[in-house]
Amino acid sequence: MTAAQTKSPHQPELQAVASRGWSGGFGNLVRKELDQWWGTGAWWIHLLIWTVILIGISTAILIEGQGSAPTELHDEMVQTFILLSGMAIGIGVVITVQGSIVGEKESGTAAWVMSKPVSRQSFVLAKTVAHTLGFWATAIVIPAAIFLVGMRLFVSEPVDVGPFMAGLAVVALVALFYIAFTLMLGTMFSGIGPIAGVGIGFALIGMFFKDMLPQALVRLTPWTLPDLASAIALGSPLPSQWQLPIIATAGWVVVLTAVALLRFGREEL
Amino acid sequence: MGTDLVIDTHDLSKSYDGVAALDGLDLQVTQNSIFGFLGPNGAGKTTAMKLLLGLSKPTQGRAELFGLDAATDSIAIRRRVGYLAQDPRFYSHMTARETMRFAARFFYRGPRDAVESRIEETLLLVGLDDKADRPVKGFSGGERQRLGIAQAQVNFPDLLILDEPAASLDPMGRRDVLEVMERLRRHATIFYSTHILDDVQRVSDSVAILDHGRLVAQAPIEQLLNSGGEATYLVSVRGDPASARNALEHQSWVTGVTTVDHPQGATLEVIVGDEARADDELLRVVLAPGDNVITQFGRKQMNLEETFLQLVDSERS
Repeated sequence: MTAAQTKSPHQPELQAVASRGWSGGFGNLVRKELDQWWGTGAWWIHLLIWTVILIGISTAILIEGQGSAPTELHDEMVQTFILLSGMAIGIGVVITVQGSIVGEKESGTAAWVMSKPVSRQSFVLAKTVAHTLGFWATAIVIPAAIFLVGMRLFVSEPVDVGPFMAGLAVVALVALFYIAFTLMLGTMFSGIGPIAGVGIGFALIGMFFKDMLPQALVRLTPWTLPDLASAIALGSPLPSQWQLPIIATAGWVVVLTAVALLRFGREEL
Repeated sequence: MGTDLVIDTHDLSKSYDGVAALDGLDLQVTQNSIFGFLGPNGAGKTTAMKLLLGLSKPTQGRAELFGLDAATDSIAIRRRVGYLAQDPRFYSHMTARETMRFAARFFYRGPRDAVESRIEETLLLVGLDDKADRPVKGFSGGERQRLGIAQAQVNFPDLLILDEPAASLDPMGRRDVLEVMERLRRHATIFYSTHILDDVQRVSDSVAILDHGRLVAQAPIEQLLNSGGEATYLVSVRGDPASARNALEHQSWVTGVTTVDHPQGATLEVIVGDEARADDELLRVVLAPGDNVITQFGRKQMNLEETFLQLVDSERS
């Protein structure tokens, strides 16, 4: 589209947005979703909750383990921080994201937005991007930074930042999986009850019942990732085929997102 | 498709679980018209509008807007359309101005001042300029409706699809909306649904009536008002209405006469089967007895409410 073609005939100085096919409206929608995270106070509530949970428990371990050897205390704190992050983030994501699509379908804002030149793919992908950035920042990166500062100040054994960051990256993948999973559920159900039930149920099975299930199946889910993440963060020996759950979870993210796009593409708004 | 057709549907149908919400709609809306889409609740008006916007997919048939297929070219169509939902909802954390900015960014990338000026202009047009920086969550139904109208026209649409635009407005608000619609027709076609028939008669040039998902009638409003079955003439007389009535009842082309007495005489409501003969002979017949003076004469025009009820009732029976 030429510059001349993009001007509005009514107000020539207005420059029209070029037609972008499947990504139409994506930038505007991401901006709106990020505003909902960072412009409404939602971010500091999240940050407060995650900091209280993760740093609070780490502090409790620190206080309780005052007489322990520094290496032992370091390992226990790093392991607990990463493990807890990896397990709690699934439930946190489901609770936060469950109404993201369903709420808009119910209120009519989805129909309003889709009456603009916006693709349905953009609608879903913008939510994926904004929730991912929001969770990574408030539930992973900032609490981890606070944790590292605390470790430096109060524990003599330093944290090896490289492996710790690698462990966090695995936790970030867990968050991304649950975001894609919850958004996909949002395109399939019309109320938040089933989304919360299925999403939280899935996370709880991973926490409490995964050892009772066939391990070949479990390794194709994100359920083993918190353990793997803490092992990576501590530099511990990794199980054989440790890459499999990482690759499988990344694959699930793609599949779940594709299903969400397909399902929302057929949604009657 | 003719070049002046903005909306053109063929056999457009939509069913939910086997129940037809819209059944074979053939609709033509011409450019720069104000087209009223009428029907009782549940007639299928909102369903039809959603199909036009691509918010819903037809079970059968097709719709073209600006010559583009609503199912396959929906984004290109929506670029040229403004839509107001029946119960418009916006993001509660945004102010009216932020809502307008959000809507405007789907169409314009800049420059900032020009976009802001367009936003200000549309908020002013609907009387929300003084509430522009208030969060939408505190808005009344009428204010949301005004904001809905403002956002629908931010992109200078060629077609405005308005679902009950005056439904939650007070009489002043309704008047304002009708004025805005009349002003916008210079640049846009307005396709709107409503159940306020007075408004339709005031501003629309064409109407379509829908009932139980089926199109009952579609015509320019004047044509529709004059198409309500047998023609009726009103003759006000001073003198003896009984003699005039008696004379009329003996005419083969008269199918019924009723008399409404009033202090100055009476008004005869004459239903005729042959309009041409009525035009030629009616006055002469009334005056023939020689003791009457005609004070008023004319063909009775039905109002839209009467026409609407007659059409819907006859469709149902």
